[in-house]
Amino acid sequence: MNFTRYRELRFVLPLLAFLMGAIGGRVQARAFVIKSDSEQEASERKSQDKIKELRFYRSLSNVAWVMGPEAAVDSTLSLEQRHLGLLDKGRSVELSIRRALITSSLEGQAAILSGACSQDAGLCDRLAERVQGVADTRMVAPGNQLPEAITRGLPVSPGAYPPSRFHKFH
Amino acid sequence: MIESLVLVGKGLGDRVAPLVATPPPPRSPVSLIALVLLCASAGYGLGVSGVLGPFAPQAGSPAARLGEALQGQQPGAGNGSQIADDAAIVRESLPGPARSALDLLVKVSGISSEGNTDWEATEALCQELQWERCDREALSELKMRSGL
Repeated sequence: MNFTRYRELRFVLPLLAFLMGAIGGRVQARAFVIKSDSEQEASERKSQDKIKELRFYRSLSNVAWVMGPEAAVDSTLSLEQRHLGLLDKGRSVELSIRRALITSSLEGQAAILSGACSQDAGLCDRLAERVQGVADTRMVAPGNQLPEAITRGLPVSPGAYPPSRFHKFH
Repeated sequence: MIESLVLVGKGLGDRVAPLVATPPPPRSPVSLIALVLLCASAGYGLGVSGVLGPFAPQAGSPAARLGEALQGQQPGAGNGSQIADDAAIVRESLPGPARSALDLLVKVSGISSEGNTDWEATEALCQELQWERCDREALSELKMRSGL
């Protein structure tokens, strides 16, 4: 064997072998992961992704809620509500309270809170306290004080407003 | 004097030259083959173990990846550029007013800079967006409450 050639091969061949081994190992490991990913696992992963997406939209609406302008709150609330669907009733009620807090119309506030009461039976029993709790998490107006619908004593109870009027404010 | 030194040097050169020019005894290719096999095995082992990079599937959508990053103790740790790309993709899909919230969320959480918040840049962005409060205290509160 040519000496110079041998010296080159002595370095190149092991390096090449290492790289090819590493690539082969990764390909095989990936194939194994994909093969073992049954339908059930795929569906689990899908629901995990949904939860992660929700986490993102939740953070987004929280940022807007803490001190964002009304338009940002409104927009991010809608986004979170759309992704939330029926997954978390408690969170959905909180989002409704936030929406009521930034709604300027008294009737709108009362209708949204009534809708929230029909989702959470205990809400209307401690309405002012619960709404104040949510208002306290906002650092700027509007929405950081009890809504006038409560301070002026507008009727707030499940079924107080027909759904057609309630949906007008969503 | 110089002539004698040249002669001595020449004498030494004559003795050393044959040693240098002699090629090493030809080696058996068996040692090279063994080395190649060893390296291939080491590479394969590393590839399978995942040391060279994770092969677990990532979260599916850009929004899910952002949610995953926000969930961690150190948002964005390890893959800042991917997070920044995901944020840009998600931003495109958001309505105008929500984009300002996303911009601030990205800055305040340090999601694309390994969880480190650049407070000066965050304050500057907040002022640019014309949010009502942009002081450091309010922004710290914002960072804390964004994960509520």
